[in-house]
Amino acid sequence: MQKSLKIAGLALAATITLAGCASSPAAPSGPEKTPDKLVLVTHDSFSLSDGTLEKFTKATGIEVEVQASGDAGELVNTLVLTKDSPLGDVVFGIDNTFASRAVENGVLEDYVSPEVTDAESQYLLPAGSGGEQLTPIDNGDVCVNVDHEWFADKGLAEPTTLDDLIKPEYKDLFVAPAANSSSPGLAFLLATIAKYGADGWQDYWSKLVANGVKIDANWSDSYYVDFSGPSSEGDRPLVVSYASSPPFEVPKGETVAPTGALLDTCFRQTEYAGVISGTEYPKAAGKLVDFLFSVDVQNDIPENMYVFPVNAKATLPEGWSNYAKIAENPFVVAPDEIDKNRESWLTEWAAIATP
Amino acid sequence: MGGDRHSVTSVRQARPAPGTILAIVLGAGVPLVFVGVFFLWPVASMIGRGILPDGVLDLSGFADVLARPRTLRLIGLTLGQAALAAVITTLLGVPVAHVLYRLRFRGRRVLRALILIPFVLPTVVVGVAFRSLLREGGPLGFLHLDGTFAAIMLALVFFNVAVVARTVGSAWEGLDGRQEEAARVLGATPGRVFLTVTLPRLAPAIVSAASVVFLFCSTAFGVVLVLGGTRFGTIETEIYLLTTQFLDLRGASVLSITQLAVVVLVLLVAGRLRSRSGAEKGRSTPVRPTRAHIGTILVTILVAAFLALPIVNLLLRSLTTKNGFGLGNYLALGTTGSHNALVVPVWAALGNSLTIALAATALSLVIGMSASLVLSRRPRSRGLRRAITGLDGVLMLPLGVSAVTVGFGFLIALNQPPFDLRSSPVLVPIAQALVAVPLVVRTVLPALNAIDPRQRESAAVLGSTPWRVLRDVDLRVVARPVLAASGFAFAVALGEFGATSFLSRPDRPTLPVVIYRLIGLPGGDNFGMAIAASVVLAAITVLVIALVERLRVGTVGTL
Amino acid sequence: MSNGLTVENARVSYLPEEGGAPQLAVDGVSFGIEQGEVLALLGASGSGKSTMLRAIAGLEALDAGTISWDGSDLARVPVHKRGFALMFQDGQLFPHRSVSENVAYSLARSSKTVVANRVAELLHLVDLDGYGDRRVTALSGGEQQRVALARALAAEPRLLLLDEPLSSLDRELRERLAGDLRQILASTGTTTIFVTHDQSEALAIADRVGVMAAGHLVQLGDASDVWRHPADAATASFLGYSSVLSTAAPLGVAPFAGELALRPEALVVAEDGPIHAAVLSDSPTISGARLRVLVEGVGTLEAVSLGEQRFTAGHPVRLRLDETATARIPVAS
Repeated sequence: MQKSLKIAGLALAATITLAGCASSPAAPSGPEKTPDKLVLVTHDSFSLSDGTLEKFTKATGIEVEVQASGDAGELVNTLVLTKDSPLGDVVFGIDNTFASRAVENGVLEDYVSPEVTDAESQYLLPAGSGGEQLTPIDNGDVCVNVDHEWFADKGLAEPTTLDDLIKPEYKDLFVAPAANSSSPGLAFLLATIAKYGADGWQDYWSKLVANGVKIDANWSDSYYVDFSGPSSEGDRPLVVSYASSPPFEVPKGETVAPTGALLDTCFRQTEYAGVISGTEYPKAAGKLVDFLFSVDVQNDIPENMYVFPVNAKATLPEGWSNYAKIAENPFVVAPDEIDKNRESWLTEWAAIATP
Repeated sequence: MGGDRHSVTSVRQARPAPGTILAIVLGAGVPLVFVGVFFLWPVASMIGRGILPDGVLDLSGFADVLARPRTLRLIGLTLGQAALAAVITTLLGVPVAHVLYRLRFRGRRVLRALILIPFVLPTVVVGVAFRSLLREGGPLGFLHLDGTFAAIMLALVFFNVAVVARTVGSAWEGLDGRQEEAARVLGATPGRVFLTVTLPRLAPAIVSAASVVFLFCSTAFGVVLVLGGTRFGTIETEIYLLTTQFLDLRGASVLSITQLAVVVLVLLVAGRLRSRSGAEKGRSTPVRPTRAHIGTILVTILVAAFLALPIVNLLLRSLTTKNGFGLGNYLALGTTGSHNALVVPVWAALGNSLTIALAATALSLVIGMSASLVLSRRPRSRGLRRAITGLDGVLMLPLGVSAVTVGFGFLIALNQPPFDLRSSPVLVPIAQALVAVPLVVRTVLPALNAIDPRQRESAAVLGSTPWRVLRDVDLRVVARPVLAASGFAFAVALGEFGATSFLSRPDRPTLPVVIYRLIGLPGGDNFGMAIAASVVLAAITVLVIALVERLRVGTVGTL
Repeated sequence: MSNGLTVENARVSYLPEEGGAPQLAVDGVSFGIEQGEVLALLGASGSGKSTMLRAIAGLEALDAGTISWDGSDLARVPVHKRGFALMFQDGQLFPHRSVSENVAYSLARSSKTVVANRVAELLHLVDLDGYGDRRVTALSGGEQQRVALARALAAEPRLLLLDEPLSSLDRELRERLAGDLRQILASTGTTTIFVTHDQSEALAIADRVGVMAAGHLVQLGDASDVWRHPADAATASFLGYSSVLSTAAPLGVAPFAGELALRPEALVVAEDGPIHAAVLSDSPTISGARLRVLVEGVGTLEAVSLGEQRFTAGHPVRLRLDETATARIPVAS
């Protein structure tokens, strides 16, 4: 009896020990050493060409390990929830709609890359809402995309502004992903809030709904099922997508873009990088943030992540400059406004758009 | 006749051998530790954050969240759609089970594997496949089902028919067919035979299957979202919203606890309905289909056609490239997507998926089997019997709890050595195994329960040690159901997305993660690749499962 | 063409569970039985007798040949419309139902009183009065078989098919039930085919006996006839003849064409018996002893002795032949 209990106990202990393979090191104190590797925590849309991150390793001798954590929203929540034992050293992928949550929960160290110049200062967050902790890296504006060919076929003039979308001649032609389950959907809602104000957007949306807007659960659905563009088979020629979507619809060798972005409907969506608070290597982490802002990475971003680089010295790939335009005056909403009102806005929106 | 099976002999039970205690401790301990560490603890941590925000119990959230009309509506909707889906799926699944497991015809093994395809496909792909059929202007647009409750029902049935067909089917295979023959010769029509003789004996399996379907549907997330448009939410979608969008952990905890309460209730009810007596041990050979079977054959053809439509649609779309019909999308799978959409070529992701799913299957089989062996014991003491029922319920819980809660729970619970596994690749198969273990148990346990205790007794009297009895009696009986369960577990692991997307590393993505990524990027090439990859995923699953089914007959031998 | 069952050239094959070529279970069997007759199909396991029974019930499909009742072919008639009844070796009672519910299963369409009366009648017939409300799982083996019989008879079948109905019972019960069965079948006039491997059971219950071996019907005739004139050596030994001799001259039997089959009781110890033999072994029985003896010119045979006398091995003994316990097997053609 005693013997078998002992054996059982040993077996159980062995199981538990075997189960714990990795363990995070305890935080030491003292002057910062140079680490062997840094952990970059990001979302699952992060992607760079082979060899790009190695450039950082060549320059500093530090390896970069990438840890993906769901989408943008889940990323911030992950940081907040693991504040006491952070997952990594640097974070990339916090966007302006979630920046405030990150800042308020104190998950970031104060660090902005010194490489940021006046040319990029428009992308910096306001002071107190991330201006001291987040370095802009890329820019993926959300705009209404239009199917040029469809409108040419029908001989109809294309809409250009948000106001146009509620006009009767565009009835039943618009499809958008839901604001509460899709990030471009939320961005579009924020665009309307920016334009019509916190008290006027509800009316606009009622009119949109009356004009037959189709609300889908996510972007893939609206873009690939209901949009009438060349990659899909739907019958609605107006869809909420990105400013960077049109170049990808251009067939190889062609010079005419079948779709385009309506620049007066765009919402500024910028992604940021920052140093995670609690990291043992803040200096090294800062270097990695600088690297993300550097031309090496910035040039690599469009083809890999389908968004625009922020660095003014970066060069866009061929075709982008022709078919992908950046809005001069996109809509913006202050990040802390977004954070404060998100819940009530989404609840109101759901009541209007999805009764 | 079996009348002596439950007679109580008045011999006092001998003291169990020391080896037995070790066996029970390991057999029950391993599953408990597994579920405890990787499920109960993370979930408790998440819930704790919600109702114990600063170490003080704060139950005000309950009054607040549960009183909202939106919440009540969602709870009602969740339960309603899960119940309705469970009923419809069962009604359709039983005839399919009959055709696939009681009739003999060419290709039935392949068909058994084909119905598992929905399990494997990522919901976002299923959403696209369904919606492109149902939308206005699509081939089935005239039905006007897009965005309706009916569309959600269709999709839920699509996903879950296989659960009912396989669970009920493999139980049906083990029924002694002579009871039915006796009834038929006594003049009962086939319908009457089924209702009066077969159904009472199949009832435990049917209830099992229906309860699993109910649980799957009540936590269905992607399906509801994609097909119901945004009008139909569930507790699950609400938890996702509260957690991800609002970081309202208090509200999310309240809903998680509600979810758990529902699950426990369902398990209790199902356990009651699932009587232990009446378990069957026997076999009967499948028969050639005849005119008498026309009813079930028709239903099966209907269900198969219904399942095939979206899949064929996917196939067609995968063959549509920029240059017309062709294999371009499949060839592109060797690349990393147009404009470097991916880090690794899709084939590498497939390799990752297969390895991880294999690991998850092995893990779930080991845990599921040791749990089943323990759960099939009938100890004298009432307390121990209660404990066994409790273990059964605990193992089933992962089916009913939100993947978001579990995913985040991993992050906040498993953050101290020796359990800091948050970045460990080991978590992905573990997360997949959590959902596969209950399926293994539900398949294997009925077979173990059906073993006549006298078989074990005669082996013991003939000189076999308890371990040999286990090997010679229990494990031989269980070999077939284990193979059946392994196919199921593999499909579930392969298609698991919710937790996997949380935990997988970007340099070792699984195929569903890759598909999800491709389908989220503009550009026809990426979309084409996503669909082609889905078809490949489905095809590989069918292949593996059909192979496993073949193995059953050849190497396992007869009971 | 009889007015009862006619089987012509029936062939039935089955597919083994693990796959492989079809096996022939019944190979060209033909026979007929009149209404009111009781036929026993006798054979060892594997002889195809159960398969033949199942084919008659419609549970197995015929590969070739016909089965007809009163002249009409049953090929298109489904199992539940044939009006036959089948009783399995282990009864196969429905465990979820009581005794009367089991018995009344085929009476579902009649009114409640009719059903109740009929059930009472049948339970009385099988000597289980008052058992109606009991759970079938609480009955003993013999009681379960009787309920199964009552259930089969309730349907008033045109043909009753019994598959080894008494095999699962102990000897005393078997003998008692065999007698009961014969009486019940006679009193109800039910046409019956039953399958068994026990030749004394066949003799006790049946009018005619058919012997099956390896899928063939080897012999068919009146019970006593078959017993006294087995068709060949294999049938003889199946019917309980312990030895088959090609020459019987040493036993004092006039030569004839064919073989002589001996039952164990054929050789009896007699002080003045004409046959000389030496005892090899002796084992006591209830009425005397059973001996193994070596007969000159023949070989090892069995013999019986009545009375208290004991024998030692090697001891000479004299035997006489009781010709009623022998049978002449014609020459194989």
